[in-house]
Amino acid sequence: MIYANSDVSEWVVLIIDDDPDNLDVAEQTLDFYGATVHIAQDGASGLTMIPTVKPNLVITDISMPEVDGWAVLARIRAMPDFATIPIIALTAHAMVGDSERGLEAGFDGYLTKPFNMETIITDIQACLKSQD
Amino acid sequence: MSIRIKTLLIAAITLASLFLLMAIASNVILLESFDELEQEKAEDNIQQALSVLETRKDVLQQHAASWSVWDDAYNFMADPAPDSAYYVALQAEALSLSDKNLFILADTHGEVVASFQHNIASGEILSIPQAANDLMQQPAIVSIAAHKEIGDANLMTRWRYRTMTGVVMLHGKPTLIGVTPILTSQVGGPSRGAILFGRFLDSTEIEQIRQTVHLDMDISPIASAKLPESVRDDLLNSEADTPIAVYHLDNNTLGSYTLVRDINEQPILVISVRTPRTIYQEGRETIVFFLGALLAFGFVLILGGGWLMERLVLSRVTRLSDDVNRVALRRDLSERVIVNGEDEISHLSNHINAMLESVELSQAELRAKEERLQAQNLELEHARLRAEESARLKSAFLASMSHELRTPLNAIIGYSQLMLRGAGGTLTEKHSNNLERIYANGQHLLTLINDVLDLAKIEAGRTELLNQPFDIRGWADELQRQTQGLADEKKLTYTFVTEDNMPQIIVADRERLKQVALNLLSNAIKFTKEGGVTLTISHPAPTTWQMVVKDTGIGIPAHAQEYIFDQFRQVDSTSTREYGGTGLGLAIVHNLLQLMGGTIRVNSQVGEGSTFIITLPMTVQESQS
Repeated sequence: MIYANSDVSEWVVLIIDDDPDNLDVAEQTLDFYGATVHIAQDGASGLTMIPTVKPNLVITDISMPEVDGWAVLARIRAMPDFATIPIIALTAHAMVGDSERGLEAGFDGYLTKPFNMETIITDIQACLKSQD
Repeated sequence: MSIRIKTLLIAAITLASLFLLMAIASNVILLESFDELEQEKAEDNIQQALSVLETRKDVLQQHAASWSVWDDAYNFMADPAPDSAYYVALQAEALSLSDKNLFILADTHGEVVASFQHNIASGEILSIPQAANDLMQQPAIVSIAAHKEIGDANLMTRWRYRTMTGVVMLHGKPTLIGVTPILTSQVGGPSRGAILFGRFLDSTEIEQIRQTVHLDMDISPIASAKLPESVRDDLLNSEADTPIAVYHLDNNTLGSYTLVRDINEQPILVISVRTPRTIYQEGRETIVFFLGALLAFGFVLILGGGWLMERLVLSRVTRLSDDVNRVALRRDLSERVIVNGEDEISHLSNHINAMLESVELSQAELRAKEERLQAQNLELEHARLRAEESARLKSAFLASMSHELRTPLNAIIGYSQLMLRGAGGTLTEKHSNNLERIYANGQHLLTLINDVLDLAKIEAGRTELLNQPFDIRGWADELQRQTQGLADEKKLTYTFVTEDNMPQIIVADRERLKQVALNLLSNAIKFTKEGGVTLTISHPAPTTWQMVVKDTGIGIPAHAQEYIFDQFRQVDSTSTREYGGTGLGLAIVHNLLQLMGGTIRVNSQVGEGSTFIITLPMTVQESQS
């Protein structure tokens, strides 16, 4: 379990995004700050990776073919061992109400693309803090 | 009750009343006067009978006088021999007569000298009953017989001697008598006696009288007379000389009665006349005929009137009623009632037709209007659905476009930031410069996307204001803190003023208001090289408040002030290159202010600066109880 004040080096992050460039830029950014990063290019493979990589933070896109972000959220919450890990949406859905819908559905945070590299860590920490 | 029955009833009642009135009137007025007329006639008849009786007596008297005022009679009385020529002649005369029965000669003392009776039926001369002889002893007759003072014959009229006529009862037989004195032919006296001529008032005599007067009459002794008791009493109690009584024997006969007195003024006979009530009868018949005719005429009138009314009015009204009812039942306004003739009913029919036509017309108009309305409603509904669909599509399109643009932009901005932070190794100055430009353009593109989405949402009417109370001074301080850096970078004075009369808490959409202010402030800072920017919040009127952003920048030419609030317009195309910006800021400001019910205007001089004045309705928080 990580907390808002945990050191980024303790973060084991699983990033799920079907767009390769978006997946890559997010991986590089968190990697740049020192987190352990695993990536999955679709929801299904992301979910299968969870028991193996044992992430303490999941960052997922929402619009994905087949298993989308909502399904990822629901399935992780259904896994006994990982039900409580923070799951943050990172999505290009930035219209009014999108964020509220996401938080209501059970995401611990809702970040919009394009994210700002300068503030991404504090933004994630703010999401974690609001969950404490 | 139908008009038919009412009318017949009224007519019948009228006829009955008229009939009753006429019947009463004719009975009371006509029959009464008829009755009076008849009574008068009945009295006349009695008088006539009386006068005939009088005439008969006069004839007796005159005949007696012709045998008594004569020298032969005078001489006979001096020597009354039964075989004397006078007496023989008298008997012969008597036999030749059929209207006299009694012949009596008496002396001055009333002693009978000679007398005989002539039975007219058998033609015999008989001796006289004693009662007749006794009659001559009556003082009235004796006074005639013994009369001495006969006047001067030259001066006297023939009848200037005492005579007498009358009625007497002889053995129960009523008898007419005439008595004259026996004088010389020169009417010289003294009288030597009196002669009496008499006539039994028997059935023959009565029949003769009856034939003379042409009346249904009878003469009978009081004792045996058939007459009503009341009449008998009336007659006997009357003080009149000849009392007359009239009695209604029956509907057809009127009886009139009078008394005949004997020479001693004692009533002995009753004369009765039966007068047929012809006037009354005829009157009654006339009245009955008249009333019958009235009744018949009335019936004919009622029947005729009824028939006429039936034909002219009722049948047509019924027909009209049926026609109107048919229209009602079939609910067919195109039907018309049938019009006959030219009178009130036909006028009514015409008016009903006119009404039907008018109703039909207006119903058709209504129907047409309704159809038009329905068509319009359908169109409107389609339009609404289309508009909703279009808005939904637009919204979906915006969301999708936003998503699709942001995804690559995320990569562009993310990679350029990573490279600038040295994630890909050390960069040359040239690399850094280029990456800065990529990053800046990425950021500009993001602003552009955000602005376009904002504007689109506002214009699509999908922006809803979130009005809530907030502290306007705190809001201004926060705004100043956020933007102070921009002003500091250009070394501009940056002043925020909130006037004292501004309420502390107002109700508005805090974030939208900030969006507006940010736009204006960033523009002001952007277009000002030296000098400063001032934001003033004031409350100039009870219902409004103002926010004024004033700068000392390059200013806006007069011609451009008209379109700076339009989309994608900057003062000129070169300014985009020099100052950046999407050209959407003021358009968003303008649209947001419209949404809030506010206005914006600008005062500007090129080279001296611009002042943007925003006026908004003042809404303060309702005091909470």
